[in-house]
Amino acid sequence: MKFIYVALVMVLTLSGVQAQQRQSINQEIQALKRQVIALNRDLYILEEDLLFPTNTQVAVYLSMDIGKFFELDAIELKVDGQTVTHYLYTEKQIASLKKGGVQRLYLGNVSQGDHQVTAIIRGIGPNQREYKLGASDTFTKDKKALSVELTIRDSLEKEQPIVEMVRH
Amino acid sequence: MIYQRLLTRPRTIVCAILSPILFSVTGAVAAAQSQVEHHISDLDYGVALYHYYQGNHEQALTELAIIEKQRTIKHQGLAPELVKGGMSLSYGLYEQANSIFTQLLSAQGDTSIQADAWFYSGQLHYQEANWLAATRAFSKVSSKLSNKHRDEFYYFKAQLALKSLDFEQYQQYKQLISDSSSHEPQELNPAHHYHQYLDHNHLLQKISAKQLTFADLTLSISGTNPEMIALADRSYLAMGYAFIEQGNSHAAINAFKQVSLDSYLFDPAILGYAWALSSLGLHGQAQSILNKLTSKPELNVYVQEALLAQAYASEQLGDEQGAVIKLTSALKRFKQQQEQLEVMQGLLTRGHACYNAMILKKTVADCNASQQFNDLALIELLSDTRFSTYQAQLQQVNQLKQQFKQQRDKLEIYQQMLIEKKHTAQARLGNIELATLKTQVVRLSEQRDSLVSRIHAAKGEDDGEFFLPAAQVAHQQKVTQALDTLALLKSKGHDVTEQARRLSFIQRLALWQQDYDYALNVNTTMQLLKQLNAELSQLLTSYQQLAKHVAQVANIDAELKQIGRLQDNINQQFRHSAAISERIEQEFAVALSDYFTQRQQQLQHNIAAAKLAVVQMQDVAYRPDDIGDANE
Repeated sequence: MKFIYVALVMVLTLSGVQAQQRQSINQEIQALKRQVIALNRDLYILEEDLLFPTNTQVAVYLSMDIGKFFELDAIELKVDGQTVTHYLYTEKQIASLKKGGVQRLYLGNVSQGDHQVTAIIRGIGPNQREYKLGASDTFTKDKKALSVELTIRDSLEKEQPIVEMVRH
Repeated sequence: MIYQRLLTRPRTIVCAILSPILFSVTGAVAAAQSQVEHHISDLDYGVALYHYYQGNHEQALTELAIIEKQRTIKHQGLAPELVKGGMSLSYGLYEQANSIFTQLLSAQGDTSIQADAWFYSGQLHYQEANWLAATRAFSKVSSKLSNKHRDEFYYFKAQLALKSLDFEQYQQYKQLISDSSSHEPQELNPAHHYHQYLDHNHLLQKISAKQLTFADLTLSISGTNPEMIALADRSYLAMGYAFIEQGNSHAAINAFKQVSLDSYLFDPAILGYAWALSSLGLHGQAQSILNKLTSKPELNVYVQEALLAQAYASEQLGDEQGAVIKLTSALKRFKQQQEQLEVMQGLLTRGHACYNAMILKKTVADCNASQQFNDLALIELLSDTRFSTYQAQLQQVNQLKQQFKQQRDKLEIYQQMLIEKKHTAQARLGNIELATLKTQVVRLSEQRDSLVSRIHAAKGEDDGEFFLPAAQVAHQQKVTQALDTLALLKSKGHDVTEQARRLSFIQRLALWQQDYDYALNVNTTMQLLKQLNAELSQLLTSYQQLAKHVAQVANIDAELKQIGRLQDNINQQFRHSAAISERIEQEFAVALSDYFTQRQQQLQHNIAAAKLAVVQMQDVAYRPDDIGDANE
């Protein structure tokens, strides 16, 4: 009886120690994850400073509002007539945009002065037909970083999608 | 006799082997956000959400961390904090998530934020298997809870009701989960699976409460995706063994038949199927079914049981000699297995290089290719929940290690880039000392300023001498001296008329020359001054450019220092993660050693049983009916 009791206590203690060890490892993994995030952040800031300094930086974002009349498929972005990015969307990415996510479509450098940004957006429009949306505007780049937001929204009056380009 | 011994096996095996497989499942608990959010006014915050909604939690948290470091998020109130908590929870940063929710709940504010925070807090406790705390947190969730969390909330409530065996409440919450016919694709909406996970767990509760009926065979769990197929397989297997325990062999056969052929649960399903057939007296069919298992090269627990069950079936069919042959062959395989286990245990004590290969690569072939490790228990090991924690932890740590490595590589590229930039800047600077150049510029500027002021003063005072050459001034002085001498001679009575006339002529000539030189020198001086100004200004521009390069070099040096600090930090984290990985491997080695010991014991038990059966069948005095009667 005494033996069984001692054995039971030993088993319980051992399993307790194992659980504690596992807990401590989990906590250490969490600490590592936090470090990964902090280092990612510092690296990103450094990268931005080195590769895309504020006085030349241009960023183009894409967002969607509702998106009932348009099923996004692909986008082509041009800066001063040159294609800088061409993007094909997955279902997950489209769902993220519809939920309110914003995609950083392009991050690059331009000289100070006037620049033309053009977006050609392809997808499925009303009546399940292939649909092409286009938007173009000229922006003046100064010493501050230039952020341009492209928004695909539904025009309820026209019952068709529209795209807007706004400087932030 | 063997019948009784063998048929008691399923009951112990169901508990010992299947319990980890049939453990209740929580299913996909990732936040399902099917509702359309408001338009995000802060672009970078929107970018974080974009990654979050795709399940890329690390990138999402990084984006938030960048915003936090650089500025504040505009116009979003406490929502970003809530989202950060949700992201932290999804990324496995439970402590961070907990502190965010605690902070949000202690702050008086938006009731919908409070409701969501209580929901997340409940989810956190649920994931920690702290049912009481989870129940408490969920009970505080108000009706203001966001629509996007409602299905998940009812799912958790239903799961908790199941755990407390409150089936009435379970049904109520289950009904509140929206219909799975949502417009969103199934893989993007975990709510589609909530009903099915709940059905599975409900079934397990019924099994443990011994309330399983034939009607339960019509499972609602279905689907074409692998997750749902696996879930259905688990349900059917659990039902099959439960029906065997209940003595309902027909129902058991129906259940086992539903398990997919390519399922990892196929072996226990086949074994159960054969047992059910045997219990119906269909030993011939059972034997041919068992062949599927016994012909396998590996010797997992199901194959071991199948070898014994096959002998039993032969015995029941009156083929005692065949039974003995089967038992002898089984004994041979058991002993071979024992030897293999010893080899594996030997490998275990020599190192654990193969654990990584085994756990991370996940296939027998990969492991065999990397180490001389046989595939004996590999499949079992990989599917065993006892090792899944180590597997998950090792995978996580290895991923983190990989990330630290990538970060280090990235930093090396930046470092190289900056060093090149620094060299270019330094080449532009050449050997010029900026300080010396500055002193020169300052000195020249001072000289120029002094000259300008002297010119202005001379012009103002009409100082003719200032603009005359030294020889002319000396000549002028000589004339003045001669005039003084003539005046002295005249005063002493000398006639100096001729000398005075000649001196006057010389003086006039000198004055005329002076006037001419004055105009000429003024112009030349002004021109020289202009030139000096231009050169000085050029020198100043050069100096400014050089100063810019020097500042650039200093800036690069600061950035290089920062890179050095980051590199140190990364290296430290890398070493730390390697140490953690080593610790997990050690713990895993201990668990693996325990596992091998258990397998050895099991084998010894099977060897003893097989030997006993052989002895009994070969004993001339052995009469099954007598012993059967005696057993009864």
